[in-house]
Amino acid sequence: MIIVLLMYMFFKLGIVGFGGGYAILSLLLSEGQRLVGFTVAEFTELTALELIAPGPIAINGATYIGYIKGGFLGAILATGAFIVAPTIFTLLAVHFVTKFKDSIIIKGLLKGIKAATIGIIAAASVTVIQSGVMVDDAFSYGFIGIFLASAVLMIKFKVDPIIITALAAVAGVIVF
Amino acid sequence: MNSLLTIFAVFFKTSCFTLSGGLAMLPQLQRDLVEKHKFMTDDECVESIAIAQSLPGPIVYNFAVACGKKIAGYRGAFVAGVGVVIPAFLVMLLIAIAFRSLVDNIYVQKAMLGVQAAAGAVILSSAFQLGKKILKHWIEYVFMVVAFVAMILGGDVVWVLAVSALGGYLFLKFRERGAK
Repeated sequence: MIIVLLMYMFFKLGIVGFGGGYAILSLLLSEGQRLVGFTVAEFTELTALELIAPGPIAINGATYIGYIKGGFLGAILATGAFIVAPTIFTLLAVHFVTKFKDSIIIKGLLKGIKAATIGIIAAASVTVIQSGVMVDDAFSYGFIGIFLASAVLMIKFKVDPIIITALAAVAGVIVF
Repeated sequence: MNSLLTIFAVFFKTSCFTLSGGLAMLPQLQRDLVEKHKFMTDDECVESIAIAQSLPGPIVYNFAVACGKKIAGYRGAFVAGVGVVIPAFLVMLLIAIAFRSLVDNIYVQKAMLGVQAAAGAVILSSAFQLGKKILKHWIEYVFMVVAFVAMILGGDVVWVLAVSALGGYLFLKFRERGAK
């Protein structure tokens, strides 16, 4: 049953997963929580582990969730279900490329979708922060401190996410 | 047959050597496909990138399918797509299996709580980066804020995206009429 849910969820994400990598991970968080009992802790593992796995982030995500929720078979079927729709859409777009490029309908739809994607990603970051900021019913200054330091280092100083994640892991062991 | 193997090799190799963000792979792929193997022209390559970015799904995967189709038809699309997926799938699977045995360790749990705080920042910063590229008109800020609020309140992504897509289309259509 969980396998069917995984396939349904990833097939759907293949249809609505605009904007690549982190945009798709954000959708994965909200859909995963709703459909297959995906937790913020598991999402955190994924964001750390995909940094050391090669290839597209979203494929890593499908494989990881597929595996932890449905074993080896889950990993294969989740990844497979995920790429069905993108494959069909891409082949159609290549085939009808001139119509695709000049279509005002597609331009308009994408304009709305791309802008909304940014809001969806920001909401995912709120979910992740919200679930970690209260530790044992107390406000965690350590958690919010690591978050703020990471955010400033990344947004302002363009530090690589791999370095941020490694530093945050060390900070976590020291602080918590 | 020979060109199918080459197509597979080009995408397999690039997928193997890219950690995180697939967009970083595109310049290397462009060099390999256009200059080294002369599979396509620069224009065709740029067109494939545009298609890949405007469709749902992993951008590099879409790019691979689009290029494969142009170079060698459906078979080309198949081997290119498989070439991108295999390294990402296999290595992630091995990492997942290895990591699952560590999850209960107390130090791993502490480290992961730190990583969770960083993950919030990594995601937020990707929203900033995308925002800088995409947000130009005030209506786009409206779509962004509405989507943010809807998701926080537990909205379904399908509806959020469908409504924004419709809004974007109506906006462009309305503006075009105004321009005439």
